[in-house]
Amino acid sequence: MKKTLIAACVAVASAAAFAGINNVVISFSTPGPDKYSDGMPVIDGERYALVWTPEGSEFAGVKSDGTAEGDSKVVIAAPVAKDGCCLRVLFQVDEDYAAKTYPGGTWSVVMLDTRVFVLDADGKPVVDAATGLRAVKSCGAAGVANSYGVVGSAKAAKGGELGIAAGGVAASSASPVADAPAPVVKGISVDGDYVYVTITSTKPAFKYTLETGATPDSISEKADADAGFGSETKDIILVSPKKAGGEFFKVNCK
Amino acid sequence: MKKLLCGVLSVSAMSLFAVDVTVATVDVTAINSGLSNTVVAVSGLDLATGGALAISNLVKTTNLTVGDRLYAFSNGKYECWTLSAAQKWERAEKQYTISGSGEIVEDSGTPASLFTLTVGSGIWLSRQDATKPFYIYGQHTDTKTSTVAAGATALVGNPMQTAKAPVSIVGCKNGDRILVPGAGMLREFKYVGTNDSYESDKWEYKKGWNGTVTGSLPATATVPAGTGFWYKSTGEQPVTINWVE
Repeated sequence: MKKTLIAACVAVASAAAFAGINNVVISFSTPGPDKYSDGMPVIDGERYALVWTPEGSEFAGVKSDGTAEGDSKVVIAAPVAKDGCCLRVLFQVDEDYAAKTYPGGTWSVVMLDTRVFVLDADGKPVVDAATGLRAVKSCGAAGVANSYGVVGSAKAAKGGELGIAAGGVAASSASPVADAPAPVVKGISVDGDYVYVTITSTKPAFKYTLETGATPDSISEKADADAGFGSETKDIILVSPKKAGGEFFKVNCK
Repeated sequence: MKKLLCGVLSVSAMSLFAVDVTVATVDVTAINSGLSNTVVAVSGLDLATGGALAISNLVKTTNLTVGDRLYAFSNGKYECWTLSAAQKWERAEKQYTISGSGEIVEDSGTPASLFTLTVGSGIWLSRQDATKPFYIYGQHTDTKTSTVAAGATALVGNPMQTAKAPVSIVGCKNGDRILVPGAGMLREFKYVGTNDSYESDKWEYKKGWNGTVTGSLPATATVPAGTGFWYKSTGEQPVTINWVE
């Protein structure tokens, strides 16, 4: 079962989709610090993926094998994380190839979580005593995605010859929350220093966040709260550090 | 347009009685395009070298925002430079280009100080705040009354100090097009004259809702000083765009 965790990404991505006279051009960078959903700063070499979603469809996530859900396509997943952010990257697609393979639609840049954790003899993640975070064995492998976070997206300009930027960063979810079914907490488990909340009955493009508190009346969403996009076919798991003052949980839908 | 004198001063000889001095004139042009994306014209030479202008020296950072971008079009693809917090134009550290066959090519961008453009070239400036003017500068030159546009597609700048439409285009062929960027659109002017000759009144363009006109380039083809347009050549031959008679 794939965890669908949004990186608790406080970075503001700057992305401009510039459909020039010939090519589709997307320039992208983040000021950092970019973080994984557990608060760990992004590791050098982590992959940021360029994803294309056809007209009329919504981006529905990235699978554990690194391919996109639904009819979206991961065009390229580049290992461009460095010093806690994404390098200045220029993606460019030849106009003829774009017209044939990626006509119109929306382009998104997604930060992947390809971390492989160090496991103990029992197969559980080893926690770094100094940081309280899971020890990482490696990251950046191709064809892997434990989770993802949409950092920016923009519509492709229509026609190949406008030569005008289609726009800047757009929020990845825009569906009315009122239309979303109520999520169902399927299970809660504790593993080491983390609490895992499994949620079902979620919808793509809706963002689910975990609120925590010491009592049922004091639950709120913390600044570094875990979040994830829903899925039609899979449960999602939100993670919260196990700590005093966070004994009660609530799932919020946005 | 505001001209600034005495950008460079050199002393070639000194004596008790005479000093020879050479002075270069610096052109500074304010551009009030109001568009988020503007084709910027190269109208001068590099102050340091007197040759082709480096990208890093073309657009002043006054009134620009960190994250604004320059896009040059060369050899069929774009390069990009981003304005940093240090007010420098920084290249793309990684470039991934997908070719016509789907092959992915990885490389890094050219430093802004090493990417040069000749007078009459153009480059895109993409701004987050287009409410204020921006400024371009370079060493003044009088040899800029014509521009050579090479390749199938070229980004061309009006290098003159006033709004101009091309007076004549040598090498222009039937089907060539001028594409002038506007607010959310491109105005297209297609040449329908005789092959291998330039006839000033043989441009076809849209007028009104459904009308098509054939005639001389209209006022809407006029390119403001310091800005530019696309030239698409059917024959991929270089053309020479003349800005004065």
